Amino acid sequence: MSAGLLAIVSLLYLLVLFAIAYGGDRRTGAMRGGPWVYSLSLAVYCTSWTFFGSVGLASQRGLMFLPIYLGPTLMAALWPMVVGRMIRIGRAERITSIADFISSRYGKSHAVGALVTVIAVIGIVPYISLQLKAVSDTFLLLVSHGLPQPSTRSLPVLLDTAFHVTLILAVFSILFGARHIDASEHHRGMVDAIAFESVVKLVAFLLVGGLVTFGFHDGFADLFERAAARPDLARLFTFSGAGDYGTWISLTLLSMMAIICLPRQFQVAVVENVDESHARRAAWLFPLYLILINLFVLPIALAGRLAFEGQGVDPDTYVLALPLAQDAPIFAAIAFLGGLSAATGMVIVETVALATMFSNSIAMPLLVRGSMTLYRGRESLSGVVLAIRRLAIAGFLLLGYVYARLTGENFTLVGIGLMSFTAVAQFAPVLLGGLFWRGGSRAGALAGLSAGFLVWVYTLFLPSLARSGVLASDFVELGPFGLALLKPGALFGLTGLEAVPHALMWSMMANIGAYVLVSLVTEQSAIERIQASVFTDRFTNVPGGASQFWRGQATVADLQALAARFVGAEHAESAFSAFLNGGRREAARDEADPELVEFTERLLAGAIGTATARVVVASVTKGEIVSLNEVMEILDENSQVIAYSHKLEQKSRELETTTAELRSAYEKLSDLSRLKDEFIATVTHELRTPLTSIRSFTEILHDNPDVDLAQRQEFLGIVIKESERLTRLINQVLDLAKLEAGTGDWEMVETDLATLIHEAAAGVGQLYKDKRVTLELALPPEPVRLATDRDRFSQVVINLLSNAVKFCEADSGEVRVRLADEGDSVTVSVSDNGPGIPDWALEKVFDKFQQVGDTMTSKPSGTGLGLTISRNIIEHLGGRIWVDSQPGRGACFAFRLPRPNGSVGPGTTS
Amino acid sequence: MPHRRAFRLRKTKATRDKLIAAFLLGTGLFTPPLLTLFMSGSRVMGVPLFYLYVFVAWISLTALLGLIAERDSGE
Repeated sequence: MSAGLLAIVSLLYLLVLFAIAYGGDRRTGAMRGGPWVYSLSLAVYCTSWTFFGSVGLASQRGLMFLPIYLGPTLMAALWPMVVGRMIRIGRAERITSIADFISSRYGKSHAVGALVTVIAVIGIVPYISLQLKAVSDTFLLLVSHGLPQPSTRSLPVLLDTAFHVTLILAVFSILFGARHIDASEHHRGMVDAIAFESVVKLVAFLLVGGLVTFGFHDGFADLFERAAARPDLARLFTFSGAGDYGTWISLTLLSMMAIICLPRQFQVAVVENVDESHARRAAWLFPLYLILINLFVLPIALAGRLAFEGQGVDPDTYVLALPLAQDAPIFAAIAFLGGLSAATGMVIVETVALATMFSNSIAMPLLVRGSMTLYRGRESLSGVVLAIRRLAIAGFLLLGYVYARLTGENFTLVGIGLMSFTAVAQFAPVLLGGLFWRGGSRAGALAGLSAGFLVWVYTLFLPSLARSGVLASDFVELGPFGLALLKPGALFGLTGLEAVPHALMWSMMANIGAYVLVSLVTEQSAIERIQASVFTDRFTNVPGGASQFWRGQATVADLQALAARFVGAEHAESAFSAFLNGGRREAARDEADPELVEFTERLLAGAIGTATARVVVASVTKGEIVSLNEVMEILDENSQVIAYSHKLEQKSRELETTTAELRSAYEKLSDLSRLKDEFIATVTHELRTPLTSIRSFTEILHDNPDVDLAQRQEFLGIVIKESERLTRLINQVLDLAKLEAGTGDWEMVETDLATLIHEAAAGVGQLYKDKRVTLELALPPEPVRLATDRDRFSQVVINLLSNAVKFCEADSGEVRVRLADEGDSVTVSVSDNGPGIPDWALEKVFDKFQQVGDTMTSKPSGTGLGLTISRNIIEHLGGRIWVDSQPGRGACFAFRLPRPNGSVGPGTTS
Repeated sequence: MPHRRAFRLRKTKATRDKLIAAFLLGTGLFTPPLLTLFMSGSRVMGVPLFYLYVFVAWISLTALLGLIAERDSGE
C-alpha cells in the first residue's frame, strides 16, 4: 500500500472525526442516546495497548491480558456509587480534572494539585509515547513490502514518521480540546468523537478477529485444536504456577484503580458527564464493550504464533501482520484505522486532560502568585489560559515523542502501559479515601502521594530507563552502591514477583501507610475540614452551601470584572445576570452577598481550577475564611440542625399516625353512639305498639261494662297476647344486652346436637301443626357430640325454626333441618320454601330490628331481635352464621360451629 | 412529598446493595480459588476450559449488572 494513499485515508478519517466533534459542539439541548455516548466514551480506556498490545501479551502469556479488563468490569458494578458520587461532587464544585478533584478535597491545596499533576505527567507521558509508536510502527508496517520486521533504524527527527504523527495529533488535540474556553468545561464534541472512535475500533477489531478465526481457520475449535497440538502454545491455555495467580490478582486490582484514576478516564467519566443517570447504563454497557473487544484477542494471538513462528515478527503487530501475510490488504487497512482510532482517542482525551491539569494546577497558580502586576491589570486573562493549554497539549505530545525516541524499541506496548497504570494508581488511596474518610488531611495526601510516587520511580520507572540504555543499568542488576537489598526489582529481598506486582505492592504500602499515618497525626485546617465534610457527606452538601464559611466584603462590580478577566466579559455578564435574576436579588445593590462570592468562585473554578479560583476571589473580597473554631461551630450547628430536623420529621410522622388512629376511633365511637340512639328509639317504638294496643282494649273494657262475654273474651285474649309479646320483647332486649356485654353464664357441656335439634323441633311442633307446614329433620343416625351451651344452642335452633315457619305459606310450606358433621366443624342449616330474601337484605337480616318486608303495611310478625341474638350466640361460640337465598325459592339459614381439637370435654366453661 | 422521596431513596439503596452484591460475586468468580478449578488444560468442544469459563462468567456477570441497573432505573 502506498504511503501517500494511507496518509490521505488517515487524514480523512481525522477530518471526519473533527466534523463530528464540530457538530457536537454546535449542538444545544439534551443529547439523544446520551447514556450510550457516555458508555462508549468510557471505552477510551481501550487504546493501542488493547488493540495491538493485548494480542502481543496473549501470544506470550495466554489469558494474562484479561485482568486489565476484568478489573474495570468489577469496578463498573460500583460505577453508579463511586463515580456517581464523584459526578455529584464534581458538578457542585466545578471540578475540571482529577488533580482539581483531589486538591479540592484536601483544602483546595495548590501543593496537592501540583503534585498530582506532576505524577500524572511523568506517569502518562510514556503511555502517550506508546500510542505514537503504535501509530507510526503500524503505518510503516503497512507501507513497507514483504513481512514486517522490527525497525531498528533511527531516522533524523524531521524524517521520522513518529514525529509527523506527533505533530498531526498535536494539531487535532488542540482543535478538539482547546479551541476555546468553555466555562462549563464540557467538551461535547470531543466526547461525541471519542464515542465514534470507540465504535470504529470495536468494529475493526471484530472484523479482523472474525477474518482470522473464520476466514483463515475453521472457527474457534479448529484454531484451538491446532494450537493445542503444539505444547508451547497449549501452555497458554492455563497458568503455570502460583506466581501467575499473584500477577493475575495484582493486575485486576491495578486496572480497577486505573479505570477511575487515569486522567482521561476521569475526564470522560466525571468531568464530561452531563447526566448522572448515564452512570447506571454504563454499569453494564461498558463491560459489554470490553467483552466484545477481547473476544478475538487469544484467537488472533494463537493464529499469529502459528503463522509466524520463528520469523521474528513483533507479536504486537499480529493484528496487522496476519491480514497482510494472507494478502488481505483491505483488512490490514481496517486494522490500521482501528488502531489509529484507539491511539488518537487516547491521545486526544489524555492530552486535553493533562493540559487542563497543568494549566489549572501549575501554570495558573504560578501566574497568579508570581506576577501580581499581570494579575492586577485589567486585561483579559482568558487568552492566556487558552495559550497555556494549547502549549501544554503540544508539549506533552513532544515529551511523548522524546520518550519514544530515547527508549527505542525495547518495550512491549503492555509493559509501558502497565507502568503508567501503576503511576496513576497512586491517586486511588487519596481519591477513594477522600470520598469515604473525613479524616484524610492535606499533609496525609501529600505524604501518601509522594511516598507512593517515589517508590514507583525507583522500582519501575528508573529500571525502565536503565533497560533502554538512558541510565546505567548497574543499580538495577546489583543494587545501588552494590547493596543487593535495595535492588529495584527485588526490594528488601522480595523476590518471586514480576516487576509490576512488585512495584504495585511496595508503592501501595508506602502510599496508604503514609497517607493514613500522617493524616492521623496532623490537624486539619478550617478549609480542609469544610472540604472534607463537603466530599464525604452524602447526597447533600452542608446546608446553606460553603458560602456560610466566608466572611468578607466585595462589590458586585468587582466580582464581575474579576470573572470577566478569566472567562470573558460576555460570558461573565450573562452568568452574573442569570444568577442575580434567578435569586431575585436586587442587582442595584453593590455589596455582594456570600452566595455571589461563592458563585464567582465556582464560575472561575471551571476555567482556572478550584485552588486558584479561591486565591483569586479571596484577593478581591478582602475577607478571610472564618476561623477554625467558627468552622467547627457551623459544622456542629449544621449536624445538629440536621439531626434535629430528622427528629422533627419523625415526630411529625408519629403525630400523623396517632391523629389518624384517633380519628378512626372517634368515627367508630360516634357510629356506636348513633346506633345506640337508634336502638333505643326502635325499642321504645316496639314497646309502645303492644302497650298502646293493651291500653286501648282495657279502656274499651273499662268504659263499656256492658260488652258481651264473647267480645270481652276476645279483647282479653288480645291483651294477654300483647302482654306476652311485650314480655318476650323485654326478655330479648335484656338477653341481647347481656350477650353484647359478654356477661351471662355459659355452660359448655358436651352434648349430642341431634338430640337438641329433636327437642327444639318438638318445642315448635305446635306452630307447624297450626300452620300445617311440614318439618323435615335430616339428621345423621349416630350422635354428633360437641361441647356447647345446650340452652343457647336450642335457642338459636328454635329461633331459626320459628322464623322459617313464619315465612312459609300455610298448607304448602316445607322446612328442612340438616345437621352435618365435618370433623373439625358442625354445620346446621334450616331451609324453607318461603318467598326468600332479596339480595339487598341478605346482609341486613341479622341487624337489630331489621324485618324484611314492608313494615308499613304488614304487621311485623317478630320482635326483630331473634336473628341478632342468634348471631351473637353463634359468634360467642366461635362460629359463623349466614343466609343464602334466592327470592321466590326460599331461604336457607345456616351456622357452623368449630370443634376445637382436644379441648372437648364435659364441664368446660368459657 | 417526603414519602415519595423516602421511597426513591429506599429503591436507590436497594439497587446499590444489589450492585455491591454483584461486585462481590464478580470478585469471587475471577479470583484464584475458583479459577484453579478450570486450569486442567482440558477443552470443551475444542475450546480451552479456562477461556470458556472466563468469558461465560464475564458475560453472565454483565447480564446480571444489566438486569439490576435497567430494572431499577424505572423511576
